[in-house]
Order: sequence, then C-alpha cells, then structure tokens
Amino acid sequence: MVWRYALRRLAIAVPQLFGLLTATFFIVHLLPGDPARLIAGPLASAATIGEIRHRLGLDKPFFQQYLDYVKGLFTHLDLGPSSYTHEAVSSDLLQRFPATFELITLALLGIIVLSLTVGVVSVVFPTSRLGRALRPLAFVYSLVAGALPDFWIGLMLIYAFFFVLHILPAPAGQIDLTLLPPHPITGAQFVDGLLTANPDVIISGFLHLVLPVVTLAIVYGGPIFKVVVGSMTDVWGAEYLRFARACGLPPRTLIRYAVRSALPPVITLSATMYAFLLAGAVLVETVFAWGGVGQYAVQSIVNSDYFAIQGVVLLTGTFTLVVYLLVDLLQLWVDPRIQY
Amino acid sequence: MGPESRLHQILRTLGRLFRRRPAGAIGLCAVTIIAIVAIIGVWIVPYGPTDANPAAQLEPPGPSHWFGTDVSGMDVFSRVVAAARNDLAIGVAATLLALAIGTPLGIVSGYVRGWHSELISRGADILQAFPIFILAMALVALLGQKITNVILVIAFLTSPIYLRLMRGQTYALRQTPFVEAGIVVGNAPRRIISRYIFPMAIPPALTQVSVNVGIAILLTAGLSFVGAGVRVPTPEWGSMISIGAPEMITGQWWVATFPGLAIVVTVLSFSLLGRAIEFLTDPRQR
Repeated sequence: MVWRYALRRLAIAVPQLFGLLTATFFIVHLLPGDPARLIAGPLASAATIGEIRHRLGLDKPFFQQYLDYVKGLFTHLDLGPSSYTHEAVSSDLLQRFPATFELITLALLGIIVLSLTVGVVSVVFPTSRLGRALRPLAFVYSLVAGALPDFWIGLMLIYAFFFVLHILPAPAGQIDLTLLPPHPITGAQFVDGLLTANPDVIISGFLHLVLPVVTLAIVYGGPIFKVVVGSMTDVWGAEYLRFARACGLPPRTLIRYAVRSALPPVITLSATMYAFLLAGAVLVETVFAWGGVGQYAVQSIVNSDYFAIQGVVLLTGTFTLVVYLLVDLLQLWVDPRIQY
Repeated sequence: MGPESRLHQILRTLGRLFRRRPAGAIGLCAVTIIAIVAIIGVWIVPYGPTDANPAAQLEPPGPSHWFGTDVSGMDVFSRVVAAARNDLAIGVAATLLALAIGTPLGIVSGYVRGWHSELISRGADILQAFPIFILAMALVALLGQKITNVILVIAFLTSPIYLRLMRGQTYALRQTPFVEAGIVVGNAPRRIISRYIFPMAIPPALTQVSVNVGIAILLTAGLSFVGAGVRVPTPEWGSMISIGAPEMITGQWWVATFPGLAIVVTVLSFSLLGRAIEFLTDPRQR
C-alpha cells in the first residue's frame, strides 16, 4: 500500500518538474528585456548585439529555442554559458550548491532541535525555573520573528561577535583566508575538512558557520517554533499521554511519546522552511561572502548574467520540488495514519 | 441616525478593540504614526535626505546628527524618516495591486469549474514553487531596475496568496444554503458573486493585506540591499543598510542599525494591524 502511494507520488513529480522547467523558460524569455543587450552593455553596437544573439541562439524561432533548451537540459544538463564566470552555468551551480545546502540544512536542524528543546522544557516543565524564564522569551520571539530582515540580523551579529566581542571570525568565506582550502570533495569546505580530517579547516569552518547558521535560524525559525510548541501543548494534554503518566511511566518515555506525535506537522513545515531558507541564503550568503548559490544568484543579477539567472531560478524551483517530494515520502514513514 | 451617534459608534468600536485586542490596537496606532511620518516626514527632517556632506563623514549619533552620518556624510535620521515614504508607498502599492489581481482570479476559479479555472490554479501553484525572493530578484533584473518594476514584480509574485485564499472561500461559500438559495431564485452569476460571495469572502483577504504590506517592505528592502531594487542615494531602508554594511566590521554600527530597526518596527506594526482588521471585519464583533 505504502509502496503504491510512493510510486504514485513519484509519478506526479515528473509532470511537475516539466511544468517547472517550462515555466522557468517562459518567465525568463517572455519578459520584455533583451538578453543580448543586457550582456553586451548599453554602449554596444547593433552588430555586436546581433552577433551575441546569434551565438546564444536567440535569433531562432521561439519554439525552437524552447526545444533546444529542453534537449540541452535532458542530454547533458546544459544551462548555457555564464557571461561573467565564462564557465557552464550548470557546473558553476554544482560547484556552489553544496556550500549553500550545508548552510540551510544546519540552520533547519538547529531550528528543529532548539524548538523541540524549548517546547519540551516549557510544556513538560512549565514550573521549572528555565520553563518560567523561557515563556516571555518565547512570546517576544514568536511576535517579532516574521518581521526581521535576515541580512540586517546577520550584520548585527557580525558587529556583536566579531567587532565587539572578538570571538568569531570576520564574515569572509567559509574558512580563514590564510588556510589552504581542502581538496574539494563535496564543495562545502567544512564538510570537506571533516572528510579529509583536516583539524585547522574543521575548526575554522565551524567558527565561520556559526553566525550565518544562527542568522538563518533566528529569522526563519518562527513558524516551526510556533508549531512545535503548539503541538507539544496539544499532545501533552491528550488522553493517552495522561493515561501513560497515570500508569507511572518515566518522564523520559512520556517525552519520547510526545515528541513522536508532535513530529508530523514539523516535517510538513520543514519542506516550506527549506524553500524559505534557500531564498534567505541569498542575502545571508551575500553578507557573509559565503560563495554558494545565493551569492552566485546576486552576482548573476548584478552582472545581468542571463543564463545564470535562468539557471538559478530553475535550480531553486527544482530544489523546492524535490524537497516537497521527499517530505511527502518521509511523512508516510513517520505518520502511520496516512494511507492511500 | 445622526452624525453624532455615528462618531459615537466608531469610538465605541475602537474602545472595544483596545480592550479585546490590545496588540491590534497598538498596531493600529503604530501604523497611523508611521503613515503620518511617511507623509509629512520629508518636510520636517533637519537635513536633506540626499545631501552629502564630506566634512561630516561617519559621525556617531549626537546632538547634531541624532542617528549619526553615513560614509558620504548624509544624515541617517533624515534618511530613515524620508525612506518611510518610499518603503510604505512601494509596500502598499504592491499589496493593493496583488489584491486586485488575486481576488477576481480566485473568485472566478473557485466559482466556475472548468479547464481555465484549473489552469489558473496550476499556474499559481507553479509560481509558488519558486522561492519568492529569488524569482523577484530575477524578474526585476530582467525587466529593468525601476521602482515601478519592483512594485509590479512583488504584486505579481504575492498575488497567488489572495488567489488561493479567495478560491478556498468561494468554493466553500458556493455550497452553503444561502448561496444555493440565491442561485435557485434566479440571480445571475455576476450578482451571486458580487452580492452573495464577495462580501462574505473578502475579510480574510483584508487581514492578509496588512501582513502583506510588511512582507512587501521586507522584499523591497532585500532587493535594494543586493542592488536590485531602489537605487542609492534614494532614501530606502534596505539600500541604507547596504551602505552601512561594510562599516559593521569597522565599528560604525549606526549607519545600518537604524534603518533596520525602522524595518522591524514597521513590519511588526503592520502584522499587528492585521489582528485589528481581523477583529473589526468580523461581523460578530459589531
């Protein structure tokens, strides 16, 4: 039964993906701006622009361009050349994506772990000193969480922890500039440091991760935080848990039950959060000079790098789609009530 | 009913708002103040918001410059106040436009079943698959970096929120007995939509409007921060933060801090105002 649903969900993903890449193409190509002029700059002659248009295949009929784009994508992941880095956009993106993925995944894990901790402490031990101290904090946080600009929070943290306290490194990349970057295995330098067992890179990479991850977690943690605390409160008051408590089960077991039941909405929400975090990474990476896909996106916008813009839009859309797919499948495993 | 009792009624409603939804009332007051600042602020600030003064670069906050000055000697306080008008104008315009696009499409796709409704819904779904900020950045870059384009892009990208909301509401209302009764007695679909469905379906969208002004302001600030929105030196909170960003590692905190605080306060006020609107548009509270 579960397998049938999983297969059906996978099958839906195929037309979705196709719709997505078609939408990307249409959004980028139907806009009034002229990409050849964007690339050539405002002072270029008509002949130069014509030459660029021909080289990029933009003088072909519209439908032919679409077919070429789909064919290029499916045969060798061709997203066109970047006019700024002079590399293929797809290899640029593959090279940079792991660093971004590392950042947003750690932020998401941080949000979930912290929310669960606060949820457990404030729901299970409401009268403890920590529980009482957390309540006003949690209230202020859930009020303000949606109103924080991520890039600004990043800058505030840089001022506090780099300039005033001197305990964290300057916002310049994933490791200290004086260190030799580790051999790129994944492309995320902290992970590569772990894989090559390079202690200097691991320590420096960890310190550089702290502020961008904390920034993302603070700014985007609100929705998950509210849901976790809310569902912990609901579950803790449920009959079966009161019964379990009456039976004298140890608190550890009760907490495990509660967390287990509070988890499904968190997992659903995590998919949305991943998409938000990816968008947030654009600004946070810019602030911390992280060198991932987010910074690449800004670079491509600033330099009017047409194919790079298209590539970034397609990559982020696809990422969202894949995350939703995985979450739907994960949900099957975590929530046995779902049956199809 | 005379004008006096009308005023009385409004005051009584406001009084109830303060008692039952204090947060919403605070939001209402804060947004009113921010709106007044946005309208008259430019005329009462001590310095011209784009006047550079090379003799007063990066001065810390003090009696002559309350929020200090930035790297080109522009007065941060005057700019934070002057920026309110630009940010609010963009936020409000983009949100109202989004409402104007999303609402009719949502009602029609919820009321009329058929392939075009399906097409509208699927189109909105695909649009929502892309992270909104990244698509916004790309669209503004491709369309050209102008304030009108920022407004258009934000409106276009946030309109699916209203579309979904109105579609859901319309769909549910269509099955209620009073709407069915309206259809049975022979009202034309146009009249059903305008007299039966629209007034019942619009309150949640209006609550959303207020929250969305905040979202639009955050998006505008982000776009301007990366250089894809309002251009320097036009006073705008996001672009002011980007001017102050390099100074955060050298210790001149005031250049980026104050415009950021302005964003937080404004966005928070609009989200609280949403609670007030929710309360005031609820017929049970009248």
